[in-house]
Amino acid sequence: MVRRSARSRNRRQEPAVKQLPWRQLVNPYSPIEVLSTDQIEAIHQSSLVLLERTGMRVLHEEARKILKAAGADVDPTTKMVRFDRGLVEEKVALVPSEFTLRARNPERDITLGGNRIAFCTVSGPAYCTDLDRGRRTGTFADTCDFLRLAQSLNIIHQEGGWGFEPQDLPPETRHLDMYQAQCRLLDKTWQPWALGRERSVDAIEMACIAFGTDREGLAKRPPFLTVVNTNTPLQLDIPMAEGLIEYAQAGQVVCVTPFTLAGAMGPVTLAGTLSLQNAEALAVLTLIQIVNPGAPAMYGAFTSNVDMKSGSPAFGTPEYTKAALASGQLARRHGIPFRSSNTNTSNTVDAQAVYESAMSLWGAIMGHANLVYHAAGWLEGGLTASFEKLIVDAEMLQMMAEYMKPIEVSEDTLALEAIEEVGPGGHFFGSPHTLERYETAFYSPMLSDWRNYETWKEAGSIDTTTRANKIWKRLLEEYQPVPLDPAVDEALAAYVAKRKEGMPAAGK
Amino acid sequence: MPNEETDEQGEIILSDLPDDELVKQMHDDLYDGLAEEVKEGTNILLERGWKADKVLNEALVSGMTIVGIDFRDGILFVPEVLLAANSMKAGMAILRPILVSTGAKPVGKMVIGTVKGDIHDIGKNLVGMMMEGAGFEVINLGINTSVEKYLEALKEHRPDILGMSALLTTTMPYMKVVIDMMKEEGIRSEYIVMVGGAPLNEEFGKEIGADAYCRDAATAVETAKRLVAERRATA
Ligand code: B1M
Repeated sequence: MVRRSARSRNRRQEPAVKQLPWRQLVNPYSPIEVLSTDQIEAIHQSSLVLLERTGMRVLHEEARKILKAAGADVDPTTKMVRFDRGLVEEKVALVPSEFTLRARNPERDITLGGNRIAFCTVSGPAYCTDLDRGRRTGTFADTCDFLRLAQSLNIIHQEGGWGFEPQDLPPETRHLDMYQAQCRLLDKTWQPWALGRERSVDAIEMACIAFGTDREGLAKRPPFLTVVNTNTPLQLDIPMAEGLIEYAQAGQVVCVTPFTLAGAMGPVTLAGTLSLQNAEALAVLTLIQIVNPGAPAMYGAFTSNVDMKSGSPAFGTPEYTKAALASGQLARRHGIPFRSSNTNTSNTVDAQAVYESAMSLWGAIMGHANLVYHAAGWLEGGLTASFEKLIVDAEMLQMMAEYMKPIEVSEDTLALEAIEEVGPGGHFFGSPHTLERYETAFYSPMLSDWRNYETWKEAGSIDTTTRANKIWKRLLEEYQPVPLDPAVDEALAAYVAKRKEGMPAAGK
Repeated sequence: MPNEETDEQGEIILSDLPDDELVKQMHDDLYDGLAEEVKEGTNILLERGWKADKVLNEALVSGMTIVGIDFRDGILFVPEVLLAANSMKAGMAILRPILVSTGAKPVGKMVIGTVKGDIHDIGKNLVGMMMEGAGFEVINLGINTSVEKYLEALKEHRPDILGMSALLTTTMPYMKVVIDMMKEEGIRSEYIVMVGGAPLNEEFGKEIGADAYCRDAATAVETAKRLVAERRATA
């Protein structure tokens, strides 16, 4: 058979960094259910008993008042709030099963709920690290680079809250500079912080400026999702309560996430820790729905275990994975969008970092998380954000995105004729069936090196982490600015300047 | 109840043991977290005319040193160390009034708390537990501790050490607020100030004027012992 050569085409240019295009992902598979319906019910009932019999200590006075007015049983001296199961069930039923977050670029809006899943960068670490400069306290310039990378990686659907702490900025006003940088450098959605009232109000005010809208407009099309941890066991602290009330009132999405570390903050048995997680999540979701009935919210789960020999948290453990899968079942039982994470405990970007991450990711994907928080960049139990790990994770996330494309079974894909045509002992490289499809048939990696040993060796034996280092630098070079409307930019700068009046300046 | 069953030896009657074997047995009992046995051993040694500070140092503190080493080296589990520390405390409860009345120096006293705005307390509680295990008296102020509360506690308890813990980069600077206030009130030099928490480091400790930054509970105990001894030597 004579085939026309494809030489008429121009010589192909490979992109410097091979990325999948931006796409909101849908998870087509049935979730893995590690617990039976009866077991899920038993956990849920245990949570309700806990809320009725013991309740939660709510340290924030206003939150206690709000709960009391809605019929919860509040003891002002112990600050304990006990919840009737009727109240909990009535309020939790109000949480919408799906919501859409508005991005600066409408093509980057994301919807969370049902089968949809989105990936979000790491947030919270005190340190950052990369191969060139090592582990260090990050600066404003470093965090801006991390934001640029979050913007440049198509597989990242949301920026998680500036990666790590810019410790050269004073803590009182750090959030103002960071919100401004998030507005400037990203056209995707990004997370603000809920730690205290001021950080929350500033985010809401700055979003009104950025979107040229008012609070009402912002509530109609919320741009924000923010994470609120409970202070497990059975406590809600003051800054987080302040934050959640502000965001809930403004109609923004609060992702309630009990951080239940079995062994330290929860019982060593997963069933017990899951019932504690579920109780705390339901209590805070109840509070949110009292503050603003129908406000969008998420059921976040962060159950892992500690190292019983040091008390420090461990992540990506088998217990973590099982807990993620079970938490997905609980969230679906309540009909609330579910958040999970991509975590590990490794001190460097090595095999441990990746196999623990892989365990976490499988728990998130097969547990049907709608949002995978800390999906890229997390290292060292969340104490450090790594530029190389960001890229390694992006590769894993791209692989997961491809994994979530279901196997198509049709006359076409069964390829009966092609198999018969090639016949026994032949090969498929030249089969017309292959030629029609080969370019997009398989995932083409961004980071993996598939060359044979000798070729790889001759090219310098470059390992994954070093390749990741090259990729993030390349991405930074190629970062495409997403300029803000100058009037908006100016208004944001004016807001920040005004708020900084009388506050400590950098260098303190 | 006071007798321990062991496979090889059957029942051990503590009061039948000579001093050196009893002390060894108390080290084992501390390691195994047997509070009743440690209390009994303490009483026996006192009855035999041992001075309280000798019981404290030879039977209890050196027993807990072994526990501390095995905790640091990842051999013991946290719950085991907790039981050991509680056994130590039980022995200390007997010794403390005698130490006070004879004017003997106790191991030391520490006031510890997580700073204002911060609720992370797992690490701080572990430090407190290990310090108690090492024989220190620990006053735990809990979480979200304001400068006023720290200073009040210093005045009330007159500890050797003020310990502060913080896990948030936004609350770390509060440690400096407390230290600066101590300076302002002219009481900074009266206390050893120790700080800790995962986002801190040596450099930060120096910067804010603390006497020591400690990376974990075992280091905290070693540092506390060293600094208290140094102060007493120069006092
Ligand atoms: C006096 O002398 C001494 C001497 C030694 C001392 C010492 C004092 N204190 C400590 N040490 C030393 O000895 C101890 C024992 O060996 C050690 O103590 P550590 O505390 O380091 O170690 C413990 C044994 C185990 N470690 C821990 O317990 C801390 C682990 C991590 C994962 C963590 C936890 C568990 C929690 N958290 Co928090 N939390 C994180 C932490 C990340 C991390 N990997 O460290 C961190 C610190 N948290 C963070 C955040 C963001 C938050 N947390 C929050 C809440 C919580 C939980 C309640 C869920 C829980 C705390 C529960 C509790 N009762 O303590 C929120 C804030 C609440 C508040 N108001 O403070 C919230 C804002 C999250 C939210 N959106 O709600 C991040 C820091 C952010 C920042 N930029 O500063 C964080 C790095 C995780 C992350 N990547 O997001 C040593 O440091």
